[in-house]
Amino acid sequence: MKSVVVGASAGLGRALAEELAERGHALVLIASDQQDLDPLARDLALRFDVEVAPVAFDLLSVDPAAVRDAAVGALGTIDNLFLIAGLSTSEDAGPLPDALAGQLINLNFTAAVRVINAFLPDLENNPAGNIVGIGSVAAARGRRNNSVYASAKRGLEFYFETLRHHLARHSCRTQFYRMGYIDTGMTLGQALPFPAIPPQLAARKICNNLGRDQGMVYMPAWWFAIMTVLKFLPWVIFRKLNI
Amino acid sequence: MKTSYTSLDRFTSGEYEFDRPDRFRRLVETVQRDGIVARGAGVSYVAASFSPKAVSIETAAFDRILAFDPDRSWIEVEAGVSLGKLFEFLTPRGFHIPIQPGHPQVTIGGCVAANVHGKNQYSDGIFGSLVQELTLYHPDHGVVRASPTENAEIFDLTVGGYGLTGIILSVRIGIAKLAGAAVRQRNFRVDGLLAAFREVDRLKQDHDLIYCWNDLSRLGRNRGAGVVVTGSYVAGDSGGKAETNYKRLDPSAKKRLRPNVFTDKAMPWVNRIYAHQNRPASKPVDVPLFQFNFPAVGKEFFFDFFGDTGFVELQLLLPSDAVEAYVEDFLSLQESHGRPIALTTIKAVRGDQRLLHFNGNGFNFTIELRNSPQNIAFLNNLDDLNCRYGGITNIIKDSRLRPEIAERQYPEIDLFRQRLRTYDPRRRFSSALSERLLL
Repeated sequence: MKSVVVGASAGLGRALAEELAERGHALVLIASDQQDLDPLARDLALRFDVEVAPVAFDLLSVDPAAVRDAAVGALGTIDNLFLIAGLSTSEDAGPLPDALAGQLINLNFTAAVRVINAFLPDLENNPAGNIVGIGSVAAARGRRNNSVYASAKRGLEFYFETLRHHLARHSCRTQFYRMGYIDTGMTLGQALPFPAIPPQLAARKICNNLGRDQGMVYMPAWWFAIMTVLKFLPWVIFRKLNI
Repeated sequence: MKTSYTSLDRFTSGEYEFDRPDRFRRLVETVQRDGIVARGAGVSYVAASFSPKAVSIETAAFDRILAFDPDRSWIEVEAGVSLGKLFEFLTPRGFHIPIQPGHPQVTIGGCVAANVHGKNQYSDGIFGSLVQELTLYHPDHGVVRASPTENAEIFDLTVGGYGLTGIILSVRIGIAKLAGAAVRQRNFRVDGLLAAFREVDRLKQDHDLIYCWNDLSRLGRNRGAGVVVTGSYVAGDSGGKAETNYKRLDPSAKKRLRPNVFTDKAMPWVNRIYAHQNRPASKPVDVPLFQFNFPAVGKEFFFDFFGDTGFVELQLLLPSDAVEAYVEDFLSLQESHGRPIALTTIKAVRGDQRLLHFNGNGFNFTIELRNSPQNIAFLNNLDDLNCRYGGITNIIKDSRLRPEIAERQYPEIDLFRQRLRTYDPRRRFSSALSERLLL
C-alpha cells in the first residue's frame, strides 16, 4: 500500500505515519517544515524498512497539483490519502484578526478540499483507495469558542459527505472522524473537561477502519453521547453555557 | 504551563514550568529565554531536569533514529530516544550499546549529560567513550556540532555536563556486535564487606557483568555478607526480544501507593529475603538480554518501598588502595550512627577522572538509605570520611551532595564552571542540581 499523510510532522499525523509504516505502507509525508519531516522519514525507513518520501509544503500557499505531483512522483499510484493538518487557536472566540481567520479557514477547510480535489482523479477508481478526513467534536454544535475553527471543520465534514456520495459510484472509500481530545501539542497544558486519548490509539483505530465505507463517526465513540446531549440541549439553556 | 515533577529519589519535588515542543521550530522558539533545561525521561535520581528557576523542555517528541551504519558500528539518534527503543532496533540486527544504565526509559540525551556507567565499567568505560559526535542547540550559538575533534571544548563540557551547554539534538554513538543472545549468570557468596571488594577485584577482568550486593541492613558484627553476581554473554537464539509494555518509572505520579517497607526493623528481613532469592544456584542461569540490560524492569516497586519521603543514594568512587582502611572506618561510622542501610552494592571501575566525570580507578561503592534526618546526618559525616580517603561522590545520584564536598572531591569543578561561563556568559541553562552545586 502507498499512503500520503498531509500534516505528518507531529501529533496525530506523526502517529499515523508510524502506524502505517509499521503496517508496511510506503509513505509520502507532507508538512510545512523539512526539519521535522527528515528525521521522521529516516526513522520510519530504518525501523520498518519502508520507502518514505518527506515533502515540505506550506499548505496555505501551495498549488495542490504540486503536492499531488510530488507524491505521485515519489511513489507512483497512491492508495490512501490522509488529511490530518489542522490549526486552532485560543483567540478564536469572537472577532479575529483577518489574517488569522483566513489561516483557520484555509488550513482546516480550503487546503484539505483542494488537496483532495487534486488527488481525486488518481484515487476514485482505485479499489484499494481511501480518503480519510479529520474533523472535530467542536463542529457538533455552534458555540462562541472555536467559532471559525469549528465552522471550517463543519464545512470539511459536509464536503466529505458529498465526497462519499460521489464515490458511491466508484471504488474508493471515505472515512471521516469527529475527533475528541487527543494528547498532542494542541491540548498541552489545557484543563480538559474530558480525557484526551493518545494519538497512537487514534492512529491504530483509523488504520483498522481503512477500506470501510464510513460516514462521520466520533472518535472515541463515547463523544457521541456527550455531543448528542449538547446538540439537543434547549436554546434557553445552551445560550447560558460558557463553553 | 506548570506540572508536578519529582526526582526518582523523591528528595526534590514541586510544581515547575515546562513545555513539550513537538516540532523543531517550536523547540527553537521555546528556548529563546534564560532559565531552561532539557528533560528526557525524567528518571534521574536527582533534580537534573527541573528547577524553580527554569522551564523544563521535554524532549519526548525528539526520539527518532536518524542513521545506522552496521559496517562502521555506529548509530545516530535524536537525544530523546530511549534505551528501550534502541534495544528493540539494535538487538535483531545483532548490535547493542555496550554501556547503559538499568532502565529502558532512560534517554540517550540523559546518558550523555550524566556520562553514565553500565554493567561493567571496569572493562567498558563510561558512556562518553561511545559518543563520536553530537549536535546541540543553544539560543546564543545556534546549532553546534561537536566531537572530540570539532568544537572539542564544547563536546567536553556537554558529555557529563548535566545538560548545561544546551539542548542536545542528536548523538552519534559507537555500538558493538552482540556477543550472544543471553547472559549466563553465576552467583557467589561472600562473607563480609572487605571480602566482597576482594572478590569483585579478582573477577572484574573476566566477565561482562560483575557486581556485589551486600547486606548492611543490620548492625553488629559480621555484617556485610553478600552475593557476587557475574555474567557473560553466551550464544543461543533466544532472549533477544524487547519488552515494549514494561512498567514505567513515574516518580512524579501523585496517586500511587508507596508503602514504607524499608523501616529500620523490616529492612533486615527484606534483605534476608533478597539474599535467599539470589543465593548461589547449583547451575548458572541464562538471563534474557532485555532483563540483563534493564534489571530494574519489574522491580520499580523497590523505589516505592521507601515511602513518600523517598531515599538518598550515595555512590562513591573509592580508590583501590584505600579500600582496606576505608571499610574499617566506614563500618565503625555506620555502627556509631546506628543506621541500617537498605541497599549496598560494589562494582569495579577504571578510568581517568576529569571535570565532573564520575570516573577513576578503584571501586564504585553504593549505599541507599531511607530519607530521614538521622540518615542524612550519617551521610553528611560519611562525606568527610569519603573526602579523607580520596573518594568522589556521583553527582547524578546524590540529591544531598553539598557544593563544598563536591569542591573537595572534584579537582576540576572550578575549571568546569569557568569554561561553562566562557561558553555561556548568561548561563541560560540551569537545574536544581546545577544551582545546588553552584555550577
